[in-house]
Amino acid sequence: MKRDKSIFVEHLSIGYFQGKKHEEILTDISFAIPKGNLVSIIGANGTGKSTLLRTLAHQQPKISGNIRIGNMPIESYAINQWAKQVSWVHTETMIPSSLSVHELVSLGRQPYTNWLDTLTNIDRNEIEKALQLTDLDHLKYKKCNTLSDGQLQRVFIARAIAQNTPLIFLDEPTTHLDLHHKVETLTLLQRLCKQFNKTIVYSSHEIELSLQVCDQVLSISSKKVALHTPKELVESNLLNELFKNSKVHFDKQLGKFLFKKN
Amino acid sequence: MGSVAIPFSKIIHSITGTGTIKESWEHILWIYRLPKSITAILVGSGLGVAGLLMQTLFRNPLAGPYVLGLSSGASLGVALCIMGASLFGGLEFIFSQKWSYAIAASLGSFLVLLCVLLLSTRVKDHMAILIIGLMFASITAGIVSVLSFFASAEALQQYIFWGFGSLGNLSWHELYWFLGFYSMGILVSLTAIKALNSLQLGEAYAKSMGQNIQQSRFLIILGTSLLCGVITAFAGPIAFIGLAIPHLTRQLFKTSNHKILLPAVILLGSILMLICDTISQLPSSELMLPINAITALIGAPVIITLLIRNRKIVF
Repeated sequence: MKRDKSIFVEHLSIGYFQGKKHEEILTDISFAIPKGNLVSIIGANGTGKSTLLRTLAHQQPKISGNIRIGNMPIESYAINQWAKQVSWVHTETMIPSSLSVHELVSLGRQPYTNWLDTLTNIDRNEIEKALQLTDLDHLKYKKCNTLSDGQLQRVFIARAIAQNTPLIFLDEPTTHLDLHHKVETLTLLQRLCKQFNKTIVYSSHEIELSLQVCDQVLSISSKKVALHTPKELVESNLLNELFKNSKVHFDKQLGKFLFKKN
Repeated sequence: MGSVAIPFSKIIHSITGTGTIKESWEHILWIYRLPKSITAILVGSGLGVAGLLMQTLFRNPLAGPYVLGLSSGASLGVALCIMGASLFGGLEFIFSQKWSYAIAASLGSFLVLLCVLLLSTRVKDHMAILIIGLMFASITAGIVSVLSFFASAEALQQYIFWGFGSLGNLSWHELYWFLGFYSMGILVSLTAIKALNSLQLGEAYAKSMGQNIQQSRFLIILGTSLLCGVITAFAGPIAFIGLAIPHLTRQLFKTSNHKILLPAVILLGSILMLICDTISQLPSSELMLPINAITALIGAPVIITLLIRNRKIVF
């Protein structure tokens, strides 16, 4: 049943290359994510959340194993073909650019436009749609460098929506945001999955929130990557293993992390 | 000698071929003033575009052909042509052609830009890159000094005069070569507009939006070195203007969209350089200032302003 799988990962090793040598961070990762699912990657700092996400998004090379997206190995995509399959949002709030919101969102149409980047009617419609979905219509002509962090994050997500790809990867989309905007962002992602059958994978430190909105969770603990539904994850003991030797533990009844009482 | 005032109406007459004007005026107009104005336009717009490409490529508001050592690389190319020609005995004829200056200068800037780009992947600091550019300028200056030690007095003098920078002295024939190389550089830059727009968000984003980073980088480097090389070869190293023009344009047009910025830089660069040229002529006086003095007076304050407002640089 590979066909319904949007992302199919087999015996994947990820890490960093240093010259000819490489340092493995996580090995033997295997999972399959069905189409239309919202998936979050959780784990402590430095466990390789971002590395995993960047490897899946073809932003950095894998060490070994297979990644198939849309039933094709990711290496076999041409750059432009890939840009129509996967869009990417990462956390960099500083953009030293006075592009307007509309201009930045239009950049998402680059895989579809000609060499001069001329927007067709289809492109304009997609941009409008993305602006409306992210509730940015009224900010359209504002310069990006005048926006707040939360607004800017939405602009980047709008750009990914305008790119109109079946898959979206987001690296920590909720950092720098207050609780209200975190929830807004996550529900937006949830809506994109349900309404447009997109597959979305994001890394996050918001474990409790992610458990509430995600279809599945990729958890990284003790150098192992496992895919669970939030319910399975809560019932397993994995959440307690996420942060070893720490002063918090996960309360299954409350669905919350609590301080350990001595 | 000194400035000669020619009434505007007479200039129109001469250009449109209607009416008659003094032969000496005609001569001044067609042999000196028109080529000089065209040179100013090419230099201003070309350096502006080169600066814009570099600022976006490096994502560094302080990048520019002069500060990053490209002009020095080009100077080295020209120095090799002027002073090294005798070392390649028998080929002197080829090396003394102006177009060979242009090719050598373009190659020189290409090499320097390539080195700076390679090093810039290792240093993330905006200022550090500037210092690297400065070091490259010193290295090329060192090589030029060695060359000048062995060069003939005549060649040395020729090189020193060239080094002052000048918009004049170009014949129509040379101007055609200039225009040819310049057009190539501008054309290459135009093909990079789309990539430049997405590169503003960083390479990761540009790649994810379907840009072939290697290819766009090559195009940008090629365009920059062609422009910077040919301008330096024909007009000498012109200071700071390449850095200042893109910033002034951004301030004026309030956009980072290269579809607007690039033509705007061409326009504003031409105008600014024509103004610089006019000032350097000191109308109605017998003095003529070196063009580099004027561009430095305009350009350097822009850089200082940028450095002071470092935190808030928008580009």
